[in-house]
Amino acid sequence: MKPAVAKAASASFPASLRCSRTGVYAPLLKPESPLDPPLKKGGTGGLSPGGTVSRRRAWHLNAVLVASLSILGGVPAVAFQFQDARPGYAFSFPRDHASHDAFRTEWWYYSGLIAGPDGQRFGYQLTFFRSGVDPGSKNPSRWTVRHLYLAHFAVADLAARRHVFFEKMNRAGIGWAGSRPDRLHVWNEDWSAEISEGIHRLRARGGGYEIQLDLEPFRPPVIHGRDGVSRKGNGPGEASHYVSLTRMKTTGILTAGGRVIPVKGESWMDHEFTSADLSPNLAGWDWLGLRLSDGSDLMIYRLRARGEGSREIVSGTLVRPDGAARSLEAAEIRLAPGGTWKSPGSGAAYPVHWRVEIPGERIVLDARAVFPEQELVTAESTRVTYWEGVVDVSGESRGKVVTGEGYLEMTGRARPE
Amino acid sequence: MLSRARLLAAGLILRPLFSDPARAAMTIAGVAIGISVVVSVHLATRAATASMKGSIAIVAGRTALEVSGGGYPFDESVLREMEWLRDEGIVSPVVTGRVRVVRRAGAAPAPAETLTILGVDLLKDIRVREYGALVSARERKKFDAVSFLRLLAEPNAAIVTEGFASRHGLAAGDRLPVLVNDRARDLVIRGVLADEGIARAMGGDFALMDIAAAQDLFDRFLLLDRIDIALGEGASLEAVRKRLETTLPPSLSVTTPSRRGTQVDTLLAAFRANMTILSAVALVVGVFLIHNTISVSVVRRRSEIGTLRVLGVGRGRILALFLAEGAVLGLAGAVLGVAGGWLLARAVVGSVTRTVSSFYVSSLASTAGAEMQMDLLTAAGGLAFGLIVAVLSSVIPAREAAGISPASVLRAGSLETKKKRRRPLSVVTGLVLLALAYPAALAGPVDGLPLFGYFSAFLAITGCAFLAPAATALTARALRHPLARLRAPGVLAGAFVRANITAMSAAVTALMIGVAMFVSVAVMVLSFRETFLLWLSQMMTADLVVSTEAQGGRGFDHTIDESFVEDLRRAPGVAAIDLFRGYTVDFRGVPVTVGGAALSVMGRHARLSLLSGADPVPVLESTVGRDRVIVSEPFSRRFGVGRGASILVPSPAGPVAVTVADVYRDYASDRGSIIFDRSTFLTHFPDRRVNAAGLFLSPGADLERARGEILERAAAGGRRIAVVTNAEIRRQAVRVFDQTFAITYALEAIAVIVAVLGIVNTQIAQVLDRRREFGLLRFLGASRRQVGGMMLVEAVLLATTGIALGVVLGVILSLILVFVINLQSFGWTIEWSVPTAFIVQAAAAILLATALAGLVPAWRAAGVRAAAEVREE
Repeated sequence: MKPAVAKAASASFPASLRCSRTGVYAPLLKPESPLDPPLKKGGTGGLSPGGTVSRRRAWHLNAVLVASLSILGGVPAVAFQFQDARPGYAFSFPRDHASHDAFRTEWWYYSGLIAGPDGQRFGYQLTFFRSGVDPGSKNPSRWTVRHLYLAHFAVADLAARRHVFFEKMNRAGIGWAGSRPDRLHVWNEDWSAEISEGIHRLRARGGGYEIQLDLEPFRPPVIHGRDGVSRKGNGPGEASHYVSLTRMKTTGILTAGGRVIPVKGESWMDHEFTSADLSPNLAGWDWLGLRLSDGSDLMIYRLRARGEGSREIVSGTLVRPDGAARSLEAAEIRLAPGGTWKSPGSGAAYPVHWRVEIPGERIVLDARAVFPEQELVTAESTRVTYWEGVVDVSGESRGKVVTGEGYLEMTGRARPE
Repeated sequence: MLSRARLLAAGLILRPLFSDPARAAMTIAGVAIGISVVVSVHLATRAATASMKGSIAIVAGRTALEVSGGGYPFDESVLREMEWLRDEGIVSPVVTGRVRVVRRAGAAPAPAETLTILGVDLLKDIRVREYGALVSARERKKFDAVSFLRLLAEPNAAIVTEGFASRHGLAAGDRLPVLVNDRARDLVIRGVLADEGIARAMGGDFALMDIAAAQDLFDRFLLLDRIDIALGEGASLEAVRKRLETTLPPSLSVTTPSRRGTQVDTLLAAFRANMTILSAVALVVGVFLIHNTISVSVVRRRSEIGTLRVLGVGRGRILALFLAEGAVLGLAGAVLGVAGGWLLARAVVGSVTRTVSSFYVSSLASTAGAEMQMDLLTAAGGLAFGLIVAVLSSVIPAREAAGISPASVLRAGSLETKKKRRRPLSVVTGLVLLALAYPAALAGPVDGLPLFGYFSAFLAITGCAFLAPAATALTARALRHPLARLRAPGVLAGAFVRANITAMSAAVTALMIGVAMFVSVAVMVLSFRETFLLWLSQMMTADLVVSTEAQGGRGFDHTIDESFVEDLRRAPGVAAIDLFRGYTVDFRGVPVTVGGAALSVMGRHARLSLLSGADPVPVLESTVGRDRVIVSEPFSRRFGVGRGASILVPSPAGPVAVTVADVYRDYASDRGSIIFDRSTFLTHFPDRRVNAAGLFLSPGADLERARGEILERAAAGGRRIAVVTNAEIRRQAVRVFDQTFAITYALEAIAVIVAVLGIVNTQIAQVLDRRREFGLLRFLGASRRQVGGMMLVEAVLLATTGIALGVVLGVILSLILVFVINLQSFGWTIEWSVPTAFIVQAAAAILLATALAGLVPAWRAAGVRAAAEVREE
């Protein structure tokens, strides 16, 4: 690949993308978001001491969602009524791998660990976001922003402790980006994820890195939460539909620094869709997706609370080796973050060593970042700085020593000026 | 030595200047006016060009290459052919156009303005152009693409510039009513861009919209106006361009933004050259004023010079002294002129910019608020120019001074004797120069500029200047008898003028040139006006013209649905309809008009004037359904394309080969036009919307009823159209015509005024010089009235000569202007006709003005007391 090409590709949206799977929550850390529209008359609003939220503030938060997935959620003229995530949703596959345009926000999130023939390990992350803006617009122009499509691509070279990150953002336009409603095919320029004959085919490249991977799920989809909904808050509609393919056999080619490496490994896919407005008193989010050597998989997330009188939300799912999934309640989960790494770039402090205990399942795990420098610090205009990286796991499960690997994500810990 | 030189200079040059401040001031003013006109024209045209090029550069931003349809919107799906470019840079599709801003009720009054809309995909474009911060009363914030997009996602949402918002009293959240095509729309102001980056383009008269909203606003779905490409580091411009050229359809062109800047230069070169040369005319008058002043100075100080020579002062020093006097006058005039030019330029730059952008480059960039800059080079150039001109004008009288022999102290009038002997030589020179003007006028243009035309005019002026002394003597001689009737004052005045031709003829020449300029421009403009009116009455025969309310002026920005105008065929009283649609397109690198009209209807209802003189009806019929076009005279002349020629006309589907059926006269624009019959036009230009429709009513139909009916139909359909009658259009056209040439008259009138002042200037000098003569006359019994009368008769005599010569020269110059300079600059054939009555009136007015102004020296001469002067004698 020519250097020019690499340069141009890496220049893609150097600073403007603010997505992470959970970036939804991160902007809440900023009382004065730069996204506060300067043109509206009246006060900025803001959090009142009791943690309640003024109407203006709610709008503000809505605007903050711009920084995440409901990119244009605050546009007053958009009358489209998005569908809420309600209990009783009946998943059906492969249809539910495809796009759900009636929901405001949707993402397909692939992460995995792959290794070359010499055993050199790499982590990769490829995420596609769809953010409904105005699906009902009457403007027949192809450029009408009915949805906005975003994508992230990251590669972690574990041996070299190098982490690279690329992003894309497009409207559908003449087909620059999109997601099909009938089958899984989501793309953003020349990055794509598509199911063909049951195999997820991933393509992405940027800055001299490229993946061409085939992912074959060998466990059935896991639907998180209860009754088809995963709670993201305490109010009605503060929830999402959330499905994972926790183990996918992965083969393909990784290009890194001019080397073309045939790779093998395992991947995890999260697919989530929701129209939820965020509860304003959440400060950030931590997420773990771990695959253990005894064949079980564990997903845990925690929505951290902000201020007095608000409760954090913790939830998880344990997938047994036989593929059976069990939803974990907050009371069943103990999380102990530690091993703080302070980012020189953002100044944020990230716990990069997590102890996870599920006493009911006799699980005690230590998940440690393979290296701490896996933060995504974007330029000054970016509202979300987050940490997303590979962790190695060791511990016990039902009395047996286990190892494992997976991804850890932490948002809302940086407080950029 | 040095101090002696200084003493000499002070005594001989500066003291007289101070002792006669009125004369010095007038001379200095003459130079100052000339220099200020030159400087202001230079500054204003340069500022206009710079602002246009600046706008192009700002709008282009980091664009390295642009893909365009050569003036036509093109299918956006061509972007799919450009996906490989992702590896090389950023591809940003652009939809752009202009809307007319409607004055809002209750808002601060602002003139109807054109607002350029830039419709882009901010996600891409934020890396192509430099977008400044968004401002509000409270704060300013640097925004990113998503924030912009969020503000613009709403239909009709627009972000305007700080300058525009303050001019129109707008703030975020306000509605801005605009006219676009035949509709009224409300834009919603969602943000105000700080006055930086792109907000500085077009003087701030531009608004940012989302590309989807812009397509909706202009009803341009699936179409783009341009694709801007910014290249990443290391990408090869040439390689990218080559690949684009080989992969894109032939109807699309790939150019660099700087090419448009170059185009501005090319288009404005002729305009700037013409303006500069015209402005230099004002300086010619200054030249003669200096020549006059120095001549007078030399004559007056003949005895002093003789004395100096007796005392051993060399010829070289005398020469230097008088050159220095010229230089002092020139420098003083130039200093004032540079300052005055700066002020004048500030006053006119707005109108120059508007003229330039509306007449020449409206397709390239619209502009307002050009920034004026005075630089050292212009200032120094103006000073140097004034100085050089002054010194050169002083050379002839200074040489005369240097030639004065020491003995001449004793003999008065020796200079005049010498001059008289030379007169036949100068008459021959004058006639030769005049004769040479003719072949010079026959030469063709150089680089599109009528350089030989100007040279011919120069030869004519110089020739007449050489003839001026002889003509003055001749006039005085010829008027001997009428003068004799005025008794003593007349006889004396005639005799004096004949005896002092050198001192007198410079003033005559200055007046001659002023009058000639005035007359020639008057002849040209009035000839043009007559030609234009005749042409208008032949061409503009439609009883009613329907166009968009938005258009308001030139250009083809706004359109009406064809269905609406087609329906008008069935309106009561309508006999025929001519539909017109035009585009501004690139033809051989120059913007021209390509249009479609119902040529057969025109053949039946109008009398198109063809250059070939052929009957227009069969020619126009021959274009129906065929790839035959008619082209305008300026087009034919600019590109050297005549009847029967084959040309390639750019169309949305690529170049179309057509044959030129004939060349028609077109005085509406100096931009070339290619006109198809609508039947053929629609096969190559499928967009059926029209810019205007001409309605021909059946005999006896009620004009106002028909107009009312059309307006009613428009209102019912929510359309904003304008319906004007034939008479209104003609009135409007004549008004525009007269406005356009008003400034030309003003410029030439200045020349006449300066020249008239020259005569008075000479006379005032005479009063000082001839005190002894006047005293003697009084002593011999002449009354005050007779002495004053003599001076007045002299002034009138000089003025008559100058005016007569000026009219002759003016008529000669008008021929050069009409048949050479105008034809080569603009490509218009004008029927030359001399407006005798106007010229006679103007001549009488100038004569009267001179006579009135001549009262001042006459009064002063009459005031000379006999006793004092004769005692001296």
